Amino acid sequence: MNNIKTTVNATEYPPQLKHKTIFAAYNDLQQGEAMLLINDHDPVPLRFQFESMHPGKFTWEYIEQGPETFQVKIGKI
Amino acid sequence: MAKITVINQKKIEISVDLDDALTMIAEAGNNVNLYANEIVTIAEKMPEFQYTYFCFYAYDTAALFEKMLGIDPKQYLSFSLHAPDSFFYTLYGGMKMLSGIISQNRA
Repeated sequence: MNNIKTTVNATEYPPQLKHKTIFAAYNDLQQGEAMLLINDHDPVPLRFQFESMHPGKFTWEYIEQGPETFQVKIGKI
Repeated sequence: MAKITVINQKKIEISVDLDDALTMIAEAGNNVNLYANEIVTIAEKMPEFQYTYFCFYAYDTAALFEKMLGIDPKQYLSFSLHAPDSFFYTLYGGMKMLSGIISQNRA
């Protein structure tokens, strides 16, 4: 967890800003750094979007998997 | 018809079914020029999300969705969408068909 540079709590953003905010945070990462995403549901659609936009360039590790809160450590490779 | 349940000031639950996808397709078909970019984007991006995990806000393609709902989910910080697979597959078929027409018109 030491390489987590920033945390995005998606529950604090309206729907139209969630993905933009998360990808902006990811884009600000340096290689080897990670961000922590907090959400109130499993962000499966976001993972698909990551796979489309940054194939092979990210890691995805669940830190907490519900039922109320999901935390995912997203790293930049 | 879509069912919207307000959980609290920040959260709503939305339930839709196949008929709601048909409503969106009809709206899009009747206003192809207005929704052209959204139609093309939905048709292009839905496969990325394995169709049934499509997020209307991932690529700013929520106008048809919001029109069908009759409310603005952007007023809430969180919403959950309950939809059968038939909703997504029907919507994709409609958007793909309309995007083909748009492409022909642009050619």
